[in-house]
Amino acid sequence: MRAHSIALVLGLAPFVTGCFISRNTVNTPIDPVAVAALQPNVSTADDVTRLLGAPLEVVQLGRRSAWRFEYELEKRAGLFLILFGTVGSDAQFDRVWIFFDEADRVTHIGATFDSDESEYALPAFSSARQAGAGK
Amino acid sequence: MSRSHRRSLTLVVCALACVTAGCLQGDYDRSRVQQPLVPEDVAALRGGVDDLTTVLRSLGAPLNVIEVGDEVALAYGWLDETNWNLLAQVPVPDTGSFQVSYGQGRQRLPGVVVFLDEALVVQRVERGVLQDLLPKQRLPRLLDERE
Repeated sequence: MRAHSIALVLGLAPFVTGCFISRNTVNTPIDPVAVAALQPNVSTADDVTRLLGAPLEVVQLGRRSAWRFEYELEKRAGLFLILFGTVGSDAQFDRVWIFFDEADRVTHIGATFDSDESEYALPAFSSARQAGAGK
Repeated sequence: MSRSHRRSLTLVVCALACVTAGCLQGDYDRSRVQQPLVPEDVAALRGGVDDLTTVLRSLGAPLNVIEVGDEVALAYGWLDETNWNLLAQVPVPDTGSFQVSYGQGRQRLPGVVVFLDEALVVQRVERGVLQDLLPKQRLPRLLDERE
């Protein structure tokens, strides 16, 4: 498979008119240690803002609320031949939702850290992603 | 096909590629956004039994949290799609150029929505396109003391 890919790349090399890779981020990374320090029924909204800063979104849920923190990492790679171009993009997120009760005390925390799973992958050279690969 | 024929065909294809590069373009793209959920984790959720803690532990942080009447909806979405497009452009004298493009692509995010009741217990799980499953998000509002 690897030898086949190398042969394919070398064979296409004379027809390549351009290529690129790029890395884009949105917001600042979320510190998993800071998230782990938060405790349901103990931590408050003040603790959350002190540890994680301002949320990206606040959602009202009746008298309760939920705050969203998010960091996005997108990696893109492109290859352009004379008649044909191919671009692959992979955007993965670190996301934390924190739920509060009426008294602004933390009740639930949901966290997913997947930004490390983002990869530079051209469509012709990337395989289908396994479900839950980043869990 | 003889070796000389193959060589000639390759040369013709290369020459054609150089000549038509300005008016014929194809592209093949792949976009991946977020990680897909494990179907077994979704199927394991029990309506009337599991609560918000269980959902967050087994599915992780949702893409969106939305208030739907007295219910709360947690939306999980992901995308792993490939698109191809073909663009042909023919110069037409005095009128600029004539352009035809054909492609395939989706802009709608598939996923799963978990609906929880007021006590944050799972009521139902729906699968489909998130834009179809989710109502418009309510604006923040003041609540009466009796509510």
